[in-house]
Amino acid sequence: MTLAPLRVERLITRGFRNLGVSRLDPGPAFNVIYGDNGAGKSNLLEALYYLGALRSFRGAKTESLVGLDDDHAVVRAKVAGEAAPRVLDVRLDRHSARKLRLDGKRPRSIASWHQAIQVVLFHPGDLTLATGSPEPRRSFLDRILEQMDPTYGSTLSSYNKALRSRNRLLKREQVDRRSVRAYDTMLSQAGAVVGQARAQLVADIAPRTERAFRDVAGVELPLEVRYRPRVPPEPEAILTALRESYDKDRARGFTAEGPHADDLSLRVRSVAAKHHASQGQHRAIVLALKVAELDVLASRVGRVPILLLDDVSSELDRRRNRRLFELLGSLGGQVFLTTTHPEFILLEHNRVDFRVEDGVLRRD
Amino acid sequence: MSQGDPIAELVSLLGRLPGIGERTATRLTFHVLGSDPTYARALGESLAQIHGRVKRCTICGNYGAEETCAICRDPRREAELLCVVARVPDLVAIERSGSFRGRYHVLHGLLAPLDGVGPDDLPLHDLVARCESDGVREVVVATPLSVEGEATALYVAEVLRPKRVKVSRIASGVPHGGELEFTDQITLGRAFAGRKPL
Ligand SMILES: Nc1ncnc2c1ncn2[C@@H]1O[C@H](COP(=O)(O)OP(=O)(O)OP(=O)(O)O)[C@@H](O)[C@H]1O
Ligand SMILES: [Mg+2]
Ligand SMILES: [Zn+2]
Repeated sequence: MTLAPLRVERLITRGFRNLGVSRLDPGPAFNVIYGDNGAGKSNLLEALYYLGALRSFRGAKTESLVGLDDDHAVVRAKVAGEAAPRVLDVRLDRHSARKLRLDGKRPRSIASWHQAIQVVLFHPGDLTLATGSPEPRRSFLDRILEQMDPTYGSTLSSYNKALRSRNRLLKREQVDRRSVRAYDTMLSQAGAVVGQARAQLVADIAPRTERAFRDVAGVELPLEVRYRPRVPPEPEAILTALRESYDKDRARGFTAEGPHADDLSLRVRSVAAKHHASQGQHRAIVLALKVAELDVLASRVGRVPILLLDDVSSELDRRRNRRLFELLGSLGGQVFLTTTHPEFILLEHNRVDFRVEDGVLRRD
Repeated sequence: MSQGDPIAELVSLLGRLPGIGERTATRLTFHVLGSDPTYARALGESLAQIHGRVKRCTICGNYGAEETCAICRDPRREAELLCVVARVPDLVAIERSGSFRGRYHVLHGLLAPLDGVGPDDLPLHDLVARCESDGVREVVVATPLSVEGEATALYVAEVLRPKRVKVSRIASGVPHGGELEFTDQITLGRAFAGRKPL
């Protein structure tokens, strides 16, 4: 199945970080953004990511996104998909709420905005997916599900609120057991929905991730991707687990059982990747997860999302670099990637290079 | 609040009402100032007396002019059927829909451990007592479909489990996280017809 790619035809930023007034007319395939440390390469990716995710990937607040000498920032993109191109416009003010315009009009809902653009990002902080605790892996799954299904986000936030409420009750000196039971029921219902959605997603991304890892890293070290729910994602199972662990929960002051303790297990040679894999292999694992994310989003939305790769090539040897770009090229989407050394990007075709110097962009 | 400036004082007081921002508060203040002073006096007196003149029904918690409210005194209302609501505006919305012929129990709040509201802060003992003495057969819980509303509904079910009462929840015709108060009458009617056991 060949899907139409989403394509940024023009990007304009004004007052975003150190980018000043900039205009970028990217190519349809690979766009290599290069420059020295601190030049503004990641800032450019951050602007593109903001259009898709409506937040910064560095967790920055609006104030830090607006240029030091500016009072507001604008990011505008003309994006081609299947029908007519759309114009997406974000305005960030230091002191007032962000304003969104879709084709010059206020979007009817956030969901209608998200339908217009999807981005997938890799940045060095994502390495915690392979090396860190289960938490970033759960949010990796949750962010994908939120993009695919707007009701998932509201179920998850209900679950989290009920969980915080139950934990608050557990810490009290006197506990009305019946009020804990009320939350048990809610947690088991919302938790089963969350767990089943994650299990289904992992069933979709696991083979894709394993394949992408094989393509990049080679066959010597097969990767195994599995969903490891703390409790099977069925309402009765979660309810039983919560009821049975009540005394222990009470003693430790928090809820141990439920999908908030699930993990996406990543194993090589039956050992957790965290302990076994090398730095370059960690990077390859995370890239494989991102490729899988792009792939499932593409088949769900019907268009290939825009791929943003911040500082992707370092730590991968020449052979794996080349394989990575072959794989990315085969996906057919538009890619933006940053590097300090454009010669490290082993791509001969379908590339446009942009040089960034002190926030100023120039096409080679 | 600036002590000396009566206009700023009224703007600030009005601005504390829900749904009223500073602009509306300013507009209302100048409107009152531009109208006949008898209106302002009547409004002020009415506001000043509201707490004294309106009582909470000692049976169900609804507002009324006497110790017990008009609904609790109405002999045509079914005493075996109780509807639990979080707030009086929810009761008003249900009354407007005409879909319920029983009586009410107003909690004046919802369980919210994160905000420090526990079971003892709500009139739940009264609810149990009513179920024991008034021959109640069924309790319909019509709290909002928010986390707090759901938790309260489930808690009511837990509390009434040992009693011989059927506990049900209004069906989810009401939009998720939605306020009953703003739900249209047809939707609310359907929600009552399709209530589910808890
Ligand atoms: N709000 C802002 N206004 C102006 N400049 C900013 C703002 N925020 C960050 N900067 C500047 O942007 C620069 C960092 O840009 P960026 O993170 O894009 O660098 P980079 O090109 O990705 O570098 P590296 O290769 O080290 O990753 C810093 O010099 C910083 O001073
Ligand atoms: Mg950078
Ligand atoms: Zn009454």
